[in-house]
Amino acid sequence: MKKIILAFIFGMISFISHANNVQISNLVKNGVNISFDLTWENSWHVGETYHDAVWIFIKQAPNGSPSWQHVNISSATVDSGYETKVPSDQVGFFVKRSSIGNGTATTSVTVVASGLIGVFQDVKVMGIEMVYVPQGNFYAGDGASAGRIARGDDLLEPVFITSNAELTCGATSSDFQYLTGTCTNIPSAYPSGYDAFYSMKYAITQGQYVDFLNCLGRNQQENRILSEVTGSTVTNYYVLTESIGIVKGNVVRCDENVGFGQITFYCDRNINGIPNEADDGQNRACNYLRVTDWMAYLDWCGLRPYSFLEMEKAARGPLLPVQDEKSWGSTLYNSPGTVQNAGTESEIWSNSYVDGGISTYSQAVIRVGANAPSAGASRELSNATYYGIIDLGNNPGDWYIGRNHVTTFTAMEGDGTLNSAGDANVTSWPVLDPTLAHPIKIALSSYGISAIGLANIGASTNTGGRGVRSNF
Amino acid sequence: MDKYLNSVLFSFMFFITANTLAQPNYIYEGGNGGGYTLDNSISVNIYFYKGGNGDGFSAIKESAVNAYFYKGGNADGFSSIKSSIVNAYLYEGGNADGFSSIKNTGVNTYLYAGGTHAGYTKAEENYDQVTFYEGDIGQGYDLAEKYEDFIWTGAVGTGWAVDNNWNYSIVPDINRRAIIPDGVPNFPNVNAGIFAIGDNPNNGQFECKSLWIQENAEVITRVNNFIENYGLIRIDGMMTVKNPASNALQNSSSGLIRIRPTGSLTIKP
Repeated sequence: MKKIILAFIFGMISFISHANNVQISNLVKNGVNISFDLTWENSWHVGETYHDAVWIFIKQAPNGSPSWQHVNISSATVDSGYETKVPSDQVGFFVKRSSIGNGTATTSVTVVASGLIGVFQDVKVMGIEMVYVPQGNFYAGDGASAGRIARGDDLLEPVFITSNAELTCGATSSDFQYLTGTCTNIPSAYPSGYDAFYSMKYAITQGQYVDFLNCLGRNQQENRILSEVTGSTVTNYYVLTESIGIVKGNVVRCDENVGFGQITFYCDRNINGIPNEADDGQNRACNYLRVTDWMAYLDWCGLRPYSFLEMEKAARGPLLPVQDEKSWGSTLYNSPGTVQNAGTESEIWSNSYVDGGISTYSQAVIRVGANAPSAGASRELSNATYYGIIDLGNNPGDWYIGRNHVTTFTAMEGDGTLNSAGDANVTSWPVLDPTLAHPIKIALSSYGISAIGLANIGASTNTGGRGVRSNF
Repeated sequence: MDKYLNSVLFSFMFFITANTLAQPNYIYEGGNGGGYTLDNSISVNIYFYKGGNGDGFSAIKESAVNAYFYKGGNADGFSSIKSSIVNAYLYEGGNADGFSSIKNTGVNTYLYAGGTHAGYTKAEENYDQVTFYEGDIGQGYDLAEKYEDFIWTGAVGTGWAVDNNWNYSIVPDINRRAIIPDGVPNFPNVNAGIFAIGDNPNNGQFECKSLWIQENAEVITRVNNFIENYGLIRIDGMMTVKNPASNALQNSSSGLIRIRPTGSLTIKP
């Protein structure tokens, strides 16, 4: 790898690795106190029902060790006009507006960390933009999609979910059924979508996944990528697609010579060996994630997987279903044009802001939010859900916990720590075999957000994901 | 009519809250002139409470698409209630009958909108929902890193590579910013070998990510030391290079040496 050594302003206290909508700057650590400035664009707060937020979590490297460990949060404070939500598990915290407003949000943040290890600690602070999905009734199933959930007495009608009570299989109007497959009662502990939760606004990006990989130990890294990297040299150095070049827009790679220590991963769209240049695709949605990679990332950052019912709630909100609707609330479906400003933070399709409903199904991925204009936005143009979550089930697709795990999966959140193999290890999460098929939402022309049963094996250009959190 | 209307409203409220339509066959069946005529509970195009003209409502229809509940006639309190998958209208009324329409859709939701002379005119959820869907450059994620500075203490001598001369008792590596402050008992002397700053491609024995010599502080590199700078050297104090070789101080294209007004760089054997 050719290393870039950038001359930097010496008085600068922190090093900003990305420049994007969510920005964390002026990071200072003094003992257990960590402070920084936080800003993000296009924020909104219209009462508690409709708002966005940023999920903040912190990692530490005790004594400068290459091993990064999770940092819990004792408290967090922000400027007037903003508020924090530190959940009971203290794995991270939310920052949000505290009063009505929209536009660019800016606040200083001061955190008291707990569980710091070693004489000194290097720290990484990460922020993910989230969208609030409020508690409330919603319809699941659209009366048309393949494999959909439906009201017990009528496959053409949606299930109206009005509480966290157990959902029972049956043939009456108070029961539910599936169009196909075996029906199992859905216990009250399964995240039915009735309760409020926060969802990641965008899919996990390639830059995000690189940052994740670079915090793992070598053995964990080896299990979170497709390529064989157990030796000191790597043949297929584009490690998520197991190739020597760019496949379907995935730009995550390492050097060919990696030694036996921790590997440094980076984005390199232009294949010049220089990491993370401005046009290297860090902002692209991350495809080629196996279901286990997705779950590991979510555990590591203190979030959890979507349930299939939460995905419908997040997409549709309280509205009545539209048959075969995508997450943007209609059946509008367009193919992407050509990529403009490739790999940059302004990467878009040639028909972004024009056509709406642009699906990347089977296509290369693009920058997350590439279709959302800065003005004149609409759900269809921006590929947005009712609450403003972008490209749910699209660019690439979204893994979720399907109906086969309704009796065991609960809203238990990730704790920020993986097992030694780099796998998620949250008790109630299913232990999945990535070589088998698992359900995923993909905006196919014939598959709406209510379609269940569409599955994927391993990794592909359609496999990606995002997380939620309901403890806040 | 009031009795029938109450019955209708009660039934509708039940629908709204429970969303169940498991009524037995032929409940509330009426004859001509009785307010309603037929309850035909079949799976498609069910008619509940179908009424005649002038009796408060004329038809209740439930189907998967374009369902009508409690459709009424003109001037009878409301004209139609439509529940469908797309653009559902609930309690759609006529003019001068208390309200004109309630529309429940995804965009620009109007709740309890009223018509002329209806007692109120319109209540709209007053927020700019479009903001939810706006975007811009970049992404919704960021990371900031803070690597601890390594500060020279000079507690046990002048040796750069001696643990206890540094604040964390750890000698800086290539990821560390090294700071040499004023007021310490000893200033560092860097002995024979390569002193690499910013990068260390030639495996130098002494290294740091950057070097800041603060005002009144000093760093001396000895006669057999070679400096390779790929990063930043900021000199507010004094830096003395004692190697007379022409390549004693190599500043790469990515290197920057900044000598501040109080600082000095002396290259003198």
